[in-house]
Amino acid sequence: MQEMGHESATPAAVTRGSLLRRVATGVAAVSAGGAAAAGFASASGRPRLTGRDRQVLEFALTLERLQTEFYAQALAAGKLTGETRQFAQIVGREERAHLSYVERALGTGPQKPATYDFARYLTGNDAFIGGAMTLEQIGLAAYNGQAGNVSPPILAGAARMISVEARHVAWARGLAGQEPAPDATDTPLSAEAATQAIQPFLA
Amino acid sequence: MHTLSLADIDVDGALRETAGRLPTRSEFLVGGGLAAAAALLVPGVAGARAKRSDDAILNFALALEYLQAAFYTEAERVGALSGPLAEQAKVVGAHERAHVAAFREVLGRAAIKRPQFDFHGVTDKPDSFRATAVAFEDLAVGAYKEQLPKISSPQYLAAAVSIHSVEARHASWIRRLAGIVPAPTAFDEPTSDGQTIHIVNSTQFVTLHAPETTAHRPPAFTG
Repeated sequence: MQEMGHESATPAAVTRGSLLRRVATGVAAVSAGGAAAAGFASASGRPRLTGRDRQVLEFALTLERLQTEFYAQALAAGKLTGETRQFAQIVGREERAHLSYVERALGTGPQKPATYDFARYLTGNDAFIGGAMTLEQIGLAAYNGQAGNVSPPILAGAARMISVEARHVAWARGLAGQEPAPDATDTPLSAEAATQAIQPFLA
Repeated sequence: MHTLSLADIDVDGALRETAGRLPTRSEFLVGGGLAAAAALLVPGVAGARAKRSDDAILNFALALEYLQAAFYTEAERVGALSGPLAEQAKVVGAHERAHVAAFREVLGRAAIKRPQFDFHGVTDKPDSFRATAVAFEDLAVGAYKEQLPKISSPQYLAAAVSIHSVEARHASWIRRLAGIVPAPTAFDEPTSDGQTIHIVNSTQFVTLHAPETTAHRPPAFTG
């Protein structure tokens, strides 16, 4: 898992995966329907979303769903031990909570879940922690990259999760024998680059 | 690294404990140059002048970075740490000094001056260093989080966001070294400016006069 140590979530080869297409389509739809999306407001106290807020939250939904499923499958495979297993349990629980939060913020119409392929990460502690580190780093960098694209209330909500993702990254790196915080600042990732980076986890 | 104890420690308690055995005199963020930054942040700054408001926020961040940078720098100089803890102090100290330099550069002449610090010996022993570092890093995460939605400038926001998550990495790192869960909750809550000021003040680490701990003072901890 040495190659995973590189912090910059190097995008994997672009496969024209279904998810990539779906995200691209979604972005176009949001742009076209911006006026309608901006008018979204809920009677149930959810924050009022701008078109961009909604677009970013849809992307967050993709990431949180991917992470949640990753930890669920890793635990179900039953190969994890010690602190690595604890990591999977705690982080998995937290990602589930993030997923619920994003689903609630979006209110209606979540995407159809993607199909995942985690097989190569389910064989034991080392394989798992390499995958977890990559996923968490992509998630953190992607969130940081969207911070300037959302309205302040959505940023305030997202920031409560962003630092938790950063804690996960540092913990995973520590478990993998890597320095938890290698740089003084974190480099953001564009939605497009993040979408490419998660391709290896998709079926 | 062995299995973590799931029993979380009370970080505020650790900080209170640290502060409890300290003399009570100096004020942080209520005296000297820091007063200006703090005063601007306490209620009602919002609105009118975005630039000025952003400067106040950055100065608030700078004050926290000064505090952290001084703490780690002193810990390194005192030399009571070893192994992973010494590595953490060295790496994180370099980060906090880089954050100080970045904020000073952005703020230019508007930057608040570096205050004097007196850490009252908490850098002399691994245990007190660790407890204080956990408290500082978790506090920094909450304090930055409070500022993010208030920042007007996209450039400043990008900088603050990328530092906020590094502070969270630091928090996770030192918590793991302390044997406590690195990411104890699904959501990290913001810490209000008033609460941040109160917590920092309670440590008595900021002083207006020369610190008692100097480079020539031998560490109390000799291994």
